[in-house]
Amino acid sequence: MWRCKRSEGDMKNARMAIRLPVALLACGLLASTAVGQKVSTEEAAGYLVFPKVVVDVSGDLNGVPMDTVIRITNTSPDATSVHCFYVDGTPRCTIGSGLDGFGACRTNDDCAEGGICTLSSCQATNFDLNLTANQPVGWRASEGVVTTGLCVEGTSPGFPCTTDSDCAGGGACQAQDIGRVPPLAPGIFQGELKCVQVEGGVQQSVTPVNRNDLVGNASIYRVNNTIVDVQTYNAVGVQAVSSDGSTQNDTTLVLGGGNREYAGCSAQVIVDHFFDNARLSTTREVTSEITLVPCSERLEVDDNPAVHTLQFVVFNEFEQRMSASTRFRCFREVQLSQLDRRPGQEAFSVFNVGVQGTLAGQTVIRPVLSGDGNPGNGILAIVEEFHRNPNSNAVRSAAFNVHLRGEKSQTDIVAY
Amino acid sequence: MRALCRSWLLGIGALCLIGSAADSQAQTRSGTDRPGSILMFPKVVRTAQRDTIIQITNTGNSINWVHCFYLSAPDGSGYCGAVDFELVLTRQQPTQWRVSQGRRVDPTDSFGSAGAGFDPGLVPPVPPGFQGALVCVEVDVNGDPRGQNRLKGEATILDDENGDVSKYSAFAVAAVSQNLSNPLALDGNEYETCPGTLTLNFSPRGSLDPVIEGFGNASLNSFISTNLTLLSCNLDLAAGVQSNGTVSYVVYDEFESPFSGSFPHQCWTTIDLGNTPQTTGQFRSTLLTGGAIGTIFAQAQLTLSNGLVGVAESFHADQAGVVGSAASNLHTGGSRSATIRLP
Repeated sequence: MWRCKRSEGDMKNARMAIRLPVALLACGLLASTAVGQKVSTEEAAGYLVFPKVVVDVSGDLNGVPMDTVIRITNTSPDATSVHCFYVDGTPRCTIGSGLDGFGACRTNDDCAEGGICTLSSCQATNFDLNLTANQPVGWRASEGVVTTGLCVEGTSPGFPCTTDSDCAGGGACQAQDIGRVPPLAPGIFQGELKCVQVEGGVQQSVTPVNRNDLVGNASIYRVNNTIVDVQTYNAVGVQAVSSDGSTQNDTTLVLGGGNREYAGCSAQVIVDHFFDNARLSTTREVTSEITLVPCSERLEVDDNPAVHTLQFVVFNEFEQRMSASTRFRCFREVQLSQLDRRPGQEAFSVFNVGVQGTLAGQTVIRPVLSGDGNPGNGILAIVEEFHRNPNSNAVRSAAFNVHLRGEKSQTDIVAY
Repeated sequence: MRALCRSWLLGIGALCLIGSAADSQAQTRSGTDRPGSILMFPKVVRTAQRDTIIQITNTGNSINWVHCFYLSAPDGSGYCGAVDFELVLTRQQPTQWRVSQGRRVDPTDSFGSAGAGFDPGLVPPVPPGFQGALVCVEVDVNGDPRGQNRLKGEATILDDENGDVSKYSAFAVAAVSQNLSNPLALDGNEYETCPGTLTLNFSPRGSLDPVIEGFGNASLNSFISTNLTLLSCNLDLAAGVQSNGTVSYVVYDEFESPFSGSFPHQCWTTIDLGNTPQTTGQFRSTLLTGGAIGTIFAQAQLTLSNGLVGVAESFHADQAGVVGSAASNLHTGGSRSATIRLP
């Protein structure tokens, strides 16, 4: 109060002259931090998340080889550097060599006697990319990028190469070095890919920069001699609050909150889906799988990933409301009707058509603040739909991005 | 004086709050991953082989009236016609229908059947051979535009011959004002604007598919093609008048080489990239005659003066002709104002 009293007199105008612009500046800064930046699956961003990358070149998981093609595009007329992390979310046996000889498993039955199939740690592997202006790049996750050029002419244009002899049909190998991406084969890999636009340069600095130039998408393949099944989803882009090109202070990304460097994750995720085992026709029965990853993550050093609790509210076409909940660590891929029921009990799930009675449903997913020291509780997700022909058991699939609503008040942290 | 000081601080605080509210409103921008008041499904097909399932959901806690328009623009007709129908969605209600069948109002639909649930209204089927778009607008009980930003939607394209499926999300335009009128102004004042630029990550027509070459039946004979479908944001749903325009594009391959061109666009266009005179060189692999793109991965940036939305569908074939398809929403940037005129 004394300040107000003292504001009378000659000092008043001077103080007001200082306070007003300071207050307006603070107000402006507060406002500017929120202007327009968002988590989006379609706008260019400085931080990309591919929630699901899967590699299984031997077809150990479901009998058909699987691979993922990653595409990242620099939409800017300026070159940029990108620092990426594969986060391994593959459940592995505590005892035994699992399905692939490296311990990967689906259930305890895939492990040696006494072994448990579990996701105990989320190991991250990092790599760097250097993209020229407007450059699109892509690679098979199983093979990565281990060459320094691309074939031109010949019969395999665009295929990776190191020398001319790598190119079929008399093609030549033209230099095109974007960096090295580690191959995820052999063995099974299920996990996510996270990429941050960084300073790069001669020092190959991995400190983030305030730019929003990256878009990406991923295509997951199931292919053998008689099957071609492809699904594509867009990477989730988290936009930097500032896009002035300046370098940030550290390698900790602050998503949302008052001191945000990037847009905050959404408060709710909304999924439109068909209920599991819904019959769309006599030759088409649908199940859906959701892949969940956290917004907060300690990359490279996360030996004990935080547990995230999620609440699900499910609506059917009768406007009836049911609920469920689940917990996960750094990565979870699960059929909807196994979110609240064990395998074999799917028919009793709130995500099953036999319980709901209508084909379509809406599920609102809300992350719950666990209070166990988590840096944040935001989530990102994609959904895959599997259409099975009950007569032939042939399966085709499609992936799609979920909807996002609101913004969490709590900050999420990504550190590396 | 104390009161004056307080009022001054309160004033600044109020300004901050107003600004902050405006900002949070600015965050509800249009897109395929946020609910909105205008839903645009750029690609709806019903052919002998393919059919489409539409899903629309009311994400709000009150009833929502929706006015929808199937829009088609047969080649050379000079017409961009629309067939309309109305939906009523109760709170949080999802609904769906197959466009070849529409949806009847039949309370006796059996448990778990396609018509089970509260019928949202009479949805007409589209005629055989239909290719076009679906546009849905939130309205009030009188049919006047209303901005609740509670609609979201998906389209699932089914191939009933080979069982294939692809899926994309509808583009949702958010309302920013409660004072809405017909025609709908997508200008940033009544509704958010439309994207000014679309970015498409694609493989040029005729490219080898690296995964099919690796695991499948290929021997350097796999084949990738991409179908691009675009819907103008400038729509006259009352008179069906086409909005003539030109889509300009720049294509970049992995060597950063730019290729530019354009093609005509009325209200709705579907185009097999690299297989038309206007896109042959720029969207076609060097493996095919006339192709200019020598890499598997490429990007195209497309612009139209009054904004557009779109969806891409890629087709991946092995040498035996087994095909898998995948739909994806395009990436967006910039903004353009547009107008949608309702009947």
